[in-house]
Amino acid sequence: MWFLLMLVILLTNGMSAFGLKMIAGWALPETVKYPYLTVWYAGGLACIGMPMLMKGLKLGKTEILWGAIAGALSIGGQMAMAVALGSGVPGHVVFPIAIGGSIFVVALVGRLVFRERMNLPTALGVALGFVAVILLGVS
Amino acid sequence: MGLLLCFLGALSFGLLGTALKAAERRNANASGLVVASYGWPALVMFVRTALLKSGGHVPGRVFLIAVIFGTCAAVASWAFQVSIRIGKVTVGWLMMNLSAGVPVVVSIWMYHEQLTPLKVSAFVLAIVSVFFLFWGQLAEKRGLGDSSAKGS
Repeated sequence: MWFLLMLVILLTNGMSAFGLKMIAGWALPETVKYPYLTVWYAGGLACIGMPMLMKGLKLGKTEILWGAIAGALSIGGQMAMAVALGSGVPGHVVFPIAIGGSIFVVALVGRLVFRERMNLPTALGVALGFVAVILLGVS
Repeated sequence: MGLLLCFLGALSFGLLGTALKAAERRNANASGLVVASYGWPALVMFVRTALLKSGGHVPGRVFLIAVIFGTCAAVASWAFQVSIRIGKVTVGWLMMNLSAGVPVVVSIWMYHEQLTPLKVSAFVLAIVSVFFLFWGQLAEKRGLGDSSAKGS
């Protein structure tokens, strides 16, 4: 199950931002990104929300609260990156710091707060993956 | 100032990953959490679109790719949320970020972008990393199996 989930993450998450690149190649007005993102979020919401509705599952306080926190942190991160890029910091500096730094924060909190321990292959995989992500950001 | 914002971005994204883990520890339903975390930005973007002078007209092909890639993103978020219940949040988060290599491959194929030595190095490291992560998970699973077999 875990292996399948990792493959799903690898294939779907990477492609999720590819649409903006496709739109950029179509020379449409700059403002098209807003309706695009509205449909993008709504499409994602419907894809997970419809099966939930059919099963009769309801949103609880925990999901609404933590969903709002996640949404705010996501928008905060995007805005910080956008302003950094707008202030003249090159993309090959912004992306490795923001993405590499986020992995470092998650690894640190995972170890200190959630008490997650890693065996040697996992630790090696995380270290190599960290370098790979930074190289991808630089390139 | 710019660099400080980069670090704030890192902190914000890092806290996002840990917030999702914290929600999992509080038994938040994975689907519900994805719906809530997509619902808020959808609402914000809808209001922003409604304020556009053009009225937010979406060409058919833009609508289609928005639905396809939005679905991809939601499936990835759901898979991440389920995975951190059975695996480590660091590994899940790393996999989310390693997935950035997939559109790079697609761009090379679709837009004939140049395959630089830096990109090749990143791909090789990413593949080796995924191999080690899978090996680590397998070893952990076997370890747990051994210890439960010894216990019984």
